[in-house]
Amino acid sequence: MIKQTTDILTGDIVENETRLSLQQLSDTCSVETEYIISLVNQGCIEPIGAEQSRWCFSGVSIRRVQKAKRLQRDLGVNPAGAALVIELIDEIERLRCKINRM
Amino acid sequence: MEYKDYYQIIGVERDATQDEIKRAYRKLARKYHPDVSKEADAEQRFKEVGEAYEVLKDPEKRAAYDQLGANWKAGQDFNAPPDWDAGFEFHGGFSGGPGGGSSQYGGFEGADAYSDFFESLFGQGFRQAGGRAQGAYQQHAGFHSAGDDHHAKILIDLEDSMQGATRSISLRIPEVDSSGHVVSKERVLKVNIPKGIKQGQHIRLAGQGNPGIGQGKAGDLYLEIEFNPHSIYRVDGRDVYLDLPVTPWEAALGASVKVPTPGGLVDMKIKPGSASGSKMRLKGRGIPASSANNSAGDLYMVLRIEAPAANTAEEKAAYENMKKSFSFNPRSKLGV
Repeated sequence: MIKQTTDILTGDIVENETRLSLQQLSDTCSVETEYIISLVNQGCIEPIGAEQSRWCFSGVSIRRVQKAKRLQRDLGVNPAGAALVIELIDEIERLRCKINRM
Repeated sequence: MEYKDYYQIIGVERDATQDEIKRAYRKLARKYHPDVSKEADAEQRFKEVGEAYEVLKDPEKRAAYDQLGANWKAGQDFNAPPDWDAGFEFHGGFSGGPGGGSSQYGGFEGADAYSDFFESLFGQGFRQAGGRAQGAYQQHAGFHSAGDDHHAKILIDLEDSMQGATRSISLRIPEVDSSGHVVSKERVLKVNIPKGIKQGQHIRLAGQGNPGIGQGKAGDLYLEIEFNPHSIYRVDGRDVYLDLPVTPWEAALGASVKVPTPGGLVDMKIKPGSASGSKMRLKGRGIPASSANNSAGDLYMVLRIEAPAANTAEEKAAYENMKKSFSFNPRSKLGV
């Protein structure tokens, strides 16, 4: 195994600064733009802007697209199913936080 | 290396049909999928199950695995017999990791996604073929393509986000060496953890993903932030919660108590007549803002009244006194 050390790296918090175009989001998540569009049509992610050519996405979308992609790859879940699963997972996380606060 | 009992991992008998194997696999894959499961070892289990299915779903590989014999026990020391696979033809084309694709968990999609056991039986031919193909691809002059982005999850402490920090992270990346073999290369990065980052957010490190091909731009590295569980604080977004134990007399009479906060000790006033479960808020003492667009979280203290045990005669007398002084029925809501 080869080791390699580099200088201290500084990055951006994606969810703060990022506004991604349709193309940038699909590049970031390594998926086709059609897949992003199908997730938008399922209401799984929400673009800002009405026309598709002007869509832009917040950084939060990255996480949702990646989850949907993994669910599809590993469990054969289609975009409609992924949207449902992700909503249920979010709900479970909210409930867990609520339990934690009690 | 250790023998792996793929039938045991999937939870089927050795004579199970392909359909039974598929159903058992699907069930386990859902159960242990790292995006769905909250079990601590979900990721590891998911990989194991994926590896077992990779072998058992393919009749050719399954037959080859079966002819090792049924007498092996899981965990037993194992070496592949010479020419054990003679007469079998493995169709290459299995993709990077368990589950039919590259795994993003536990570091990067890697040469280490499968166990040594699997690699020794099914790995070699595929890896070399793949390595050569990729090598040729990269030498192809005039071909340019942007590198892939990489994704990894990192665990940090709450304090790292409170104050900002520098953390070393180690990532494993498969690379093709000059002879066409895939070697696992460890890359150590020092990364600034921005103050105020929340659980589930991502840090983007531009140009730290896969190198591009030709003059293609390098990909980016995305680090997903997860907090280590904290011994006293719980985190919800930017808000931080702390259970604050108080005595019955502190809650009844009021008191001033010292309370640890992520930013240091503070003195808190407990109001007389405070109930168990009531919350006190210290505004802005949670996780700080990470940019001008958001604001700092709050610190909540949840009162927990704790009654001491009565051991000495004097302590028992104190409880006797309370019994006489109070007409208190904590079970009135139960109707008794």
